[in-house]
Amino acid sequence: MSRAARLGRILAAAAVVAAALVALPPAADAQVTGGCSATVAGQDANAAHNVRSAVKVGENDTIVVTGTAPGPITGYKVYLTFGPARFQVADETVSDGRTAWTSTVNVRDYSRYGVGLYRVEGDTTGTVCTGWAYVKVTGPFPLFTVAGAVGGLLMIGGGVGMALSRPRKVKVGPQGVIA
Amino acid sequence: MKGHRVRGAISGLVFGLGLAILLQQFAIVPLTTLVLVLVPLGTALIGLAIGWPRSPSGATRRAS
Repeated sequence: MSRAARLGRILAAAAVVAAALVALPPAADAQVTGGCSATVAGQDANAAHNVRSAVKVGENDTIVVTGTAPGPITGYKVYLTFGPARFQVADETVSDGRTAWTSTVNVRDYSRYGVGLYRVEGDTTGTVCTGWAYVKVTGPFPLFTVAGAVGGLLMIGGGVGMALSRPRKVKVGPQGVIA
Repeated sequence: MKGHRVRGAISGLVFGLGLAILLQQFAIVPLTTLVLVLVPLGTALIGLAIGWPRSPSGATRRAS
């Protein structure tokens, strides 16, 4: 294979990655369902539906998450998602027939592991509602966090492995193939 | 020319996992399951392409 063809193949593969990223479905407009409303750090959760409109919080902040339902709720839960993993950051059982709830989340408990963009999800029982919002945690340089360091090491290891997988010439000596 | 397709693909997968995490950490894209699948899959393809064996004449053959 010529050098140009090889480059073309690599570029084609890179184009697949780029196309996949571009084709990612946009977030749905109706983030908070069930006739409820919710706020994260004072901002409407429905407005924080993409990277640009994410709610910005500092690494040491304590954020207040609130929700209002059209009817009485029996409980609520708040989650932080990281890929397929979902971590519960707050929950409460409600028994007094309230229609609104308030919860605080200490960002510091989680920012030590990583910063960046997270999806915060919440749901209620009784009057069933679900909602989510993007939260952007700012703080230390990402590579100095646990998740950032792991990501950086994986990239370096993978990059070295990819470089070592490049084809090399097979030397043929009098005894046959040497390497 | 002897290539290492499997090594390339696995390395690409590892590279992509790291890239997906860093994209989230730098707040470029959220780390959704879709991102966690597509990015490593794409870089695994790139790794596969890099490790694909080739002969100087332009013909492709299987790696031994």
